[in-house]
Amino acid sequence: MSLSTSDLSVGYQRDVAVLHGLNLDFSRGQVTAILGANGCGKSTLFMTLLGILKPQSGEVRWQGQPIGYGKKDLRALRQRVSMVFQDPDQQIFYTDVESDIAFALRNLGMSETVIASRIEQALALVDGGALKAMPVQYLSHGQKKRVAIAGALVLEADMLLLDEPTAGLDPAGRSQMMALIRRISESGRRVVVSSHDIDFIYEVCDYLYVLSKGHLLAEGTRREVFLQPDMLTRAGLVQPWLVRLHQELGYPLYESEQAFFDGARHAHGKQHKEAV
Amino acid sequence: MLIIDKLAYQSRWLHVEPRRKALLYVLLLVLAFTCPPQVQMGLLAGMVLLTCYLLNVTVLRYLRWLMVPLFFLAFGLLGIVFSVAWSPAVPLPHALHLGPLVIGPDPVGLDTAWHTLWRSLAALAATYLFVLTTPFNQLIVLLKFCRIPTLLLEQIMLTYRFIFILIEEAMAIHQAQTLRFGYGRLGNSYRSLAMLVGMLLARVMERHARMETTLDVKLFTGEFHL
Repeated sequence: MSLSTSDLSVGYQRDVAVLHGLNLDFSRGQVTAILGANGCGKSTLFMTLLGILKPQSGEVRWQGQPIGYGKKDLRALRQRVSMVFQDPDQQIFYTDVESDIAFALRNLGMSETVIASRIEQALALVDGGALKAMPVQYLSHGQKKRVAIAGALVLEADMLLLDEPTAGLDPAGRSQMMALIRRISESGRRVVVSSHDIDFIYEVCDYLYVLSKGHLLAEGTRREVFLQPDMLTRAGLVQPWLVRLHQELGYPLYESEQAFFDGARHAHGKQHKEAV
Repeated sequence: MLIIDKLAYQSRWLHVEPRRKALLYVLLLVLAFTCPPQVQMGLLAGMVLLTCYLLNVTVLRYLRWLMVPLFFLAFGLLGIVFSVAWSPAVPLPHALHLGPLVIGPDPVGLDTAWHTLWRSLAALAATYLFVLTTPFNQLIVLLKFCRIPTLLLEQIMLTYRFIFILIEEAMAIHQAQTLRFGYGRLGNSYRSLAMLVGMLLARVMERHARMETTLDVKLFTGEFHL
């Protein structure tokens, strides 16, 4: 399963491009990040990847082949590549959780037994077993977000695009989202996350693309991208705090908050013992 | 968020099969319409207490809900009790004579009004009992069981799902305007209200466009599978 773009330019008006000649390959990492400030073209990119917007030039490729824009082609593509939008209220149509998650599968005409088992699996993955019986309008924003993700997961697509998954979430919801993305990637699916939540991206993603005003500014692994403070500033971003600790204060470069606290606790314990 | 629906989700009958609740409703309605006033009074009292118990609300709160339709009922009853005629065939006691015009309480009307009052109250209580114990999702199941056309059901469900989002948005705009003194004077108020309606329309269009995109992504083929 590989999704990529070659020399992709997209715009809403003739001659005014929002994305400029992007060459992206989403099979470089298990969880790929599209990083960029507001208005850098992240959402436009996602819409183009799903064939909702057509490129002005260049192409989107699925399994190495340019995607087709016929009804059948798009239907096939959207079963393999699914997307979760930023605003969950935009994508939940039903007043009960179960029907909503089943929606895409019923559109495909699957049997109800398959649908029931897939709903179970999807809800288990988003840790939403308790949400099943709840009416949609009483769910919190974070809960709705998880239902929306379950609605995309049931398709068992190879690739899941998440647009701003942490926008509007409280700290607890944010760490739940982090765990959820890890679980999805561990289940063998590739995830593409668009965000400007830099510390979040640092912890969950293993390959990154940095966009600024529709241009590709940098790409690479976390180390390659986040150790360039000037480039990040130009993109309207900042370094993750773990990277700043490393570069500005000479701490080792920790992979996650948890690793940092474990390491710091260990070092602190040593000092304490020496002092005694 | 509709308070009726919220209460229905908290009711002790939440998990009772909706068809049984509907059957009880029809039964109670028939009783409410056909029994004499004494039975209707008893029925009313029983249903009020039952509803209050099922929802865990005080009788006072229930009576406050009852005040809303009671207002309309009172007006209706006035029309039944009082008779206005140019030259009544049967003389009206205690009537007011304005030249040839006679206005006064009609003994037949008084009797009809007495019956109407208790019949309406009993029917209202039955409706409250049903509505307050059957949440929206169960109503959809019931309507489907009653073979209501799917198109209509889809409309009902989508309206119900999105009406709250619309109301929330309107409230947010209204609040933002109020905080900046948009409703300080009458002239301002008109302008603010016009802007609110305009903005709401623009947002609805935007939402519609986004909804179409989402439906595409979810492989929508024209049916909502209720």
